[in-house]
Amino acid sequence: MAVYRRTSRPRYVVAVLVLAAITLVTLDARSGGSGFLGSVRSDTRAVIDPVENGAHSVLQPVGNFLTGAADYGSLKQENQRLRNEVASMEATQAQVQATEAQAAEVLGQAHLDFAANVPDVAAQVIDQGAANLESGFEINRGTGAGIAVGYPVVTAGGLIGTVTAATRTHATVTVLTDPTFNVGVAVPHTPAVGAASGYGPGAPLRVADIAKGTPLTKGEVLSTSGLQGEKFPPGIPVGRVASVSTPSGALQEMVTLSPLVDPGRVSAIAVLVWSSQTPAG
Amino acid sequence: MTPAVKARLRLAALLVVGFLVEATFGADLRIAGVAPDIMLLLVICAGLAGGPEQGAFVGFSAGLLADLLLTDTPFGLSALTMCLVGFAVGVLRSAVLREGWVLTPAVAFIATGLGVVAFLGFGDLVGQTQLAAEGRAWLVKVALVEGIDAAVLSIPVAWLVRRASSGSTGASRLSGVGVRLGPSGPLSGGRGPSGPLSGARSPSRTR
Repeated sequence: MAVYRRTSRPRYVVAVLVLAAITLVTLDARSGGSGFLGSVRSDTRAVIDPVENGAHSVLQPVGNFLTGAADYGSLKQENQRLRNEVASMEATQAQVQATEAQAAEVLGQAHLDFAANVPDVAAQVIDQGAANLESGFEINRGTGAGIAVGYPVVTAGGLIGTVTAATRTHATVTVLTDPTFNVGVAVPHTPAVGAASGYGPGAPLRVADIAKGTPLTKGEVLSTSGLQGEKFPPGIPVGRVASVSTPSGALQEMVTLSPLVDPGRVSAIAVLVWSSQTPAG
Repeated sequence: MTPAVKARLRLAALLVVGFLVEATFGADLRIAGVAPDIMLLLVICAGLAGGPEQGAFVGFSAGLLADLLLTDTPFGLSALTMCLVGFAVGVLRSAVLREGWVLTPAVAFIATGLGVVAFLGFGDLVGQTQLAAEGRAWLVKVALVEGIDAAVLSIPVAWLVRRASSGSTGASRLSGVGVRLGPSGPLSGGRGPSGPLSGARSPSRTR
């Protein structure tokens, strides 16, 4: 009969692997994500992105079919077949309408009132990403189209995020509700500026550094400040003031902003070819 | 080529397939806005099928692959988390848990939830405070939905991992434990000393 002999080898193995992982974390953190490990990630994305794109194209109709089948699963078999046909036709029609809407939306990006002097690259959102603790999406344009890390991303409605990774054909956009996102905002008709930060999907942005007594009203739209060294050009609408309060004893107003654009619903965007080093146009 | 080496190659192939599935259409499988964590599920199943050493190795490798898909967190954070999750599941499996039809989904549910919490905790330790900034409700939702996804998917995935790791050192050891610890005969997995794994067990155990 076989007898299991307990050894200490697994403990040594896990200790070595944990140390290796901690070393990798340290090296990557020290290089700020731009060292060797960062380039490995970027190269992997460059390889995966076309495959991902192809998989989406193939699986989308399958997913639509499965969704349709699930919706009509409780009906009689014959009715189900007929209804599936109708659903399939409706899906095709909806797809055509959606494509037309996307095209119109892309064309709409060409007339960005708030960034008239900044060249832009129109792109479509192709994937919302598989990571649950990161807020962002993939777009179908990359460095080959002139996009670089750090470029602002907008829709016709206003600011949506910034490019945080880019390969030749695709780019990753971190949206403005992500907790890593910060943007300087200006209060209209006053010299007051503040810093808006994301607090997760669905949560409003919080604005810090707005001096107490600054005239702000609910519903007012705050735009990027564009101060020297800022990551965004001035005048891009960021959000609408959702609440303003002044805690007793505080020196700053507590302001929250509702983003003008819902990052989860956007399908077409424009990347502004602009960095803090770009001379004012 | 020994059965143990063959098992490692099969597990490596399974990890690559899992990585491609997660990378290509993981986002399409979202339920309530939460995507399943296929790599973590593979790690948990590997720990269940092969014990602590296999769990740790598969966890580290799967974590490195998962890290390639992330942009905000430092490279190696998933490897650290999954390595420990795989090891912990493997230790529990070899020391405490007895195989049964409900074991795999239950462990997958709990370990996935704990994996999400561990990822947040380790992230917090290395300054990734933004991971927890999305709010407690969202994190609970992520842990729960990922856990439910894992519990459902664990049945086919565990079967695949068990097939892949048959012949490995850990799987052979576990089948030996099953025979020795089972109070009323071999465990329900049916991998006793006369099973297909018995031939591979002796040379690897005497290493």
